[in-house]
Amino acid sequence: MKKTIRTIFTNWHILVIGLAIGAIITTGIYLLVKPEPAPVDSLEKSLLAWGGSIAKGRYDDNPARHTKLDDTYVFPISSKEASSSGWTENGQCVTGIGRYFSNPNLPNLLIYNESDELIGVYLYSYNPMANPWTKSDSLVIPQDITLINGEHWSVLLYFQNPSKACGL
Amino acid sequence: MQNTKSNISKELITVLGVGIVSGIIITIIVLYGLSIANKVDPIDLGPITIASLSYENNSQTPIISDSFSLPYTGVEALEAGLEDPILCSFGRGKYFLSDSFYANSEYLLLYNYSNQLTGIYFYTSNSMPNPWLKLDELRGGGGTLVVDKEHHGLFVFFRDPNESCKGSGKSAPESGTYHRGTRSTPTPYIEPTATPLPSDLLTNAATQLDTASSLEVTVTTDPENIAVASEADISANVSGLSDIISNLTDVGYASNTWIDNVSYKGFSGSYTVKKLDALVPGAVDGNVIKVSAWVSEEGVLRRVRLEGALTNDDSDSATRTFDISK
Repeated sequence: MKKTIRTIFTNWHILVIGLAIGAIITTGIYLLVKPEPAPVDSLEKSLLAWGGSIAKGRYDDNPARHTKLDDTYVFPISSKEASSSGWTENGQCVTGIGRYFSNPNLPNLLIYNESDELIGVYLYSYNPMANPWTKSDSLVIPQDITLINGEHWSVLLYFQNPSKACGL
Repeated sequence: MQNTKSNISKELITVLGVGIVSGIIITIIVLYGLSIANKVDPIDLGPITIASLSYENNSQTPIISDSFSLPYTGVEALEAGLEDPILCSFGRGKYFLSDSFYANSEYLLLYNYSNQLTGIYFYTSNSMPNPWLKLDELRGGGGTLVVDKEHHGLFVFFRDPNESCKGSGKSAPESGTYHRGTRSTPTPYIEPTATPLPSDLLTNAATQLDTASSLEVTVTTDPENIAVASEADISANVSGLSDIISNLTDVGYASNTWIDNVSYKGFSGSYTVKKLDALVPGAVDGNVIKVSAWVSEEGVLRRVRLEGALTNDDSDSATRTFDISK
């Protein structure tokens, strides 16, 4: 045994060559048989956008006068990102609804699940709105936390089924 | 001499073998570690639903009381009566339009070039704070007018809008795809699958309702004080509801809904009132009302809504909603 180990160390350059051959063979086989990930429909980006310029007052596609979206606000798609970018979690996860995050600078709440994933948006307005907005009273969640005070109009938009937002 | 040479090559082959095996093992471990480290759990997308909240028994816990799923693909959108505009608007997508689908609503659905729902454009005639933006009008791909009035608008996207027109030749404004006549490929025709007739599904639901026992019906009306039998009487006479859904005319699919976090398929049709006193005292035979019904995947009737004047005191907008549970 000792002799074998001594032999290996004596011929270390052969050992290195062997390691390289082994690595190349394995990597080659891996690259050949590596399964392509199945395409999944996933949320990769979500944002608010508002477009067209007020001065121009219209929205068109002519490249010569092309009106790009003036601005956008990209939502953090994880609650951890949200917490570090001006969003505040309110209360606990509400079963079948999710975890509400608010930001005083935006006209909406964001909704995350227990896995920290963005699952929906709660848009609200104090002005009367037409369908699909619905008239709502104050938005209150357990522990008497008022998220939106008073009568308002809202659209609760979910990007996935919220039934398991707080786990099973 | 020969023996010494043979021993040396044996030793070298052994060392080489040990090296190769070690190389394989180390590489497998490294590749496995890398795959674990780079593994990303995608966030599920879909179905896209618009939900309404309510509070159960005056508690502080909101629940989803109603919701409807938006057509998730171009094919579903066409089935729902929306029209594919073909032309894609850079940075936004294709505004699928329809007078009937958006009746009395102020929003538009946007699809990308692959006909996936990408976002919603909300608009209103009211003055709105930032980031809502005031526009004289809104134009879609090819300059098509999609909102022909002054309004405040706001987009909510759940896919990257800059990718919306990828493949249509409109992936960048510089691509000059405003060429008149440059057309994207129309929504591919998909051979329709054998969708069951809505009337058959409702007949099945009515049969199941007739054979079910110990059902409980809760009733809500709008306005609150219109005529309707007591919940106990209706629960004892659910066959009245099965009669209604068995005798609908012009039956079609309607918006699906979520009730207590379960999805239900929607149907609607017209019903000519006949001997409905057990459910609605004073209902006038011959009146025609709109009926909507929601049925589970298993064919169980969960909700029936009667819209229209049933009695002489009702207005045309009167609604009576019957929720059926075990």
